[in-house]
Amino acid sequence: MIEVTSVTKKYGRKKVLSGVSFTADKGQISCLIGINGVGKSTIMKAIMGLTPIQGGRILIDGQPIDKHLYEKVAFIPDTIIMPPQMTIGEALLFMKDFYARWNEGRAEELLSFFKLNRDDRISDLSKGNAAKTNMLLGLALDVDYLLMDEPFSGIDMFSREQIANVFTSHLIEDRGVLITTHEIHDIEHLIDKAVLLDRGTVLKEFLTEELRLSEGKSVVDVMREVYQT
Amino acid sequence: MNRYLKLLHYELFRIRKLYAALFALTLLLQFAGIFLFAHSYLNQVREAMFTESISAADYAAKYGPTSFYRYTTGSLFFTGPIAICASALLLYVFLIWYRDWLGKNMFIYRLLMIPASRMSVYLAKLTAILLLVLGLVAFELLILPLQNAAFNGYVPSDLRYSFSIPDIVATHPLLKILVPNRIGDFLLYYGAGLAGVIVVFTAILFERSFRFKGAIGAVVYGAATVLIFVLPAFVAESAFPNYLYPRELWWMELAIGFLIGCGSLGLSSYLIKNKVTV
Repeated sequence: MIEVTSVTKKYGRKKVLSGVSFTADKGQISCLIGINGVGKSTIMKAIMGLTPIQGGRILIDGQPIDKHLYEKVAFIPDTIIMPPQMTIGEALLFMKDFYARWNEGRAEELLSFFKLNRDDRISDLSKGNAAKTNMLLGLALDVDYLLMDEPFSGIDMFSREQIANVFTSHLIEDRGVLITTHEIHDIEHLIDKAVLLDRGTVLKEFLTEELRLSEGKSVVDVMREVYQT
Repeated sequence: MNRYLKLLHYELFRIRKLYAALFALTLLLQFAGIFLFAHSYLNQVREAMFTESISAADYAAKYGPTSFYRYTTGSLFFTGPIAICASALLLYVFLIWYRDWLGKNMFIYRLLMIPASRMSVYLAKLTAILLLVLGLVAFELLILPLQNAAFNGYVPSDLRYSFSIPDIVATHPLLKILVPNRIGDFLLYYGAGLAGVIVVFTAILFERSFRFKGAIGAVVYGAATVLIFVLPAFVAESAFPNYLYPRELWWMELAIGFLIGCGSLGLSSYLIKNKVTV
């Protein structure tokens, strides 16, 4: 389980996270929802130890992030993070070289699933193919948790569909997924848990199915209640 | 260790084209320089032989012969490429970090998420810089005898002095710094250089950790380390001219450089593990 407890984060004098707490379980798709600038990406970076926090605690299966946990949790940011001059094939080789849990079979499977070409240079990829390549590099790791930052942002309809299909496939299996989005429509039907954020605080955390059964509300209904009151 | 070596290999692989270009530039300019220098000298000789009706031997006796050493010290074609290579590597000390941070593809995300100590990333970059410097110096040493042979082949023996390559290296104002004669000097020069690169890396990590405030901190940190390094020599020169033997001062500088290097490494390790932000 990923446990985020009372996390605070400042950039200079600006407080971007004020006591953020939530959990993301293994086997569930949890979604951080909020408009741009509420601190979703900062939370992701903080979980991965890519930005320091000023207060609170972040644990992954009871452990604070360290080098060994990068074999257990993978982060897929909203932009591609491999050098532009690399080809997709070279990027796969790089991952294989550095990660013991790189699953080559799954990488091949994803390559054909996303219809990507191994010889294509990363700088030449379209936005949709860059997002798919990013996805591939994260999903082909045999990790327990996947963090995805805005995977649908700014890409075409067909690429969105392809990426959304990943969530219902065996590629996710029983891993824990923490995803951020400001456009809930693409994944509303897929998520198990929603965490609504605004101005660096958690406004509401709920299990989507539970709320649907008990109150007959969708995620969008709850968002309307929370953000428009 | 394994991942450090892989990262080092990758760092060297990434700069291979620029590095090859520096080799090619050095080779081309220094050999072109030999041709131009010798050609111009031989033209002078021919002109004097014609106007003064003297032989080549008379010219050498009257005006003095030339030498490959004179070319290496007097021609920009020889020192220029060395200066260009040094400047390029100096610039790359900054670029080796910022190229991963700036632009659309932030490779630093991937580097910081490699399941290995973040110091592996740091040390791979540091070792890469050191190897790049040593590689260029080695290349210069490799082509120096070839240049000497080319010069000797072009200028007749009665119009030139011959120097051995070790003599040229030992007395040349630039080469004697790049290839010191004594192991102690080698340690001092390259140790100071390495400590300097570590200080710059620490300053970069300050800036990458605290951005604007970090940039100010980086400048202050850099200035403080330079001050600490030069202070003993400055005090010994100005206030107590005969208090320390040169060897004692040398050891003191070496110790201070070592302490600055180690201190900066420790600080870098803390910053890259705990404070750096993408």
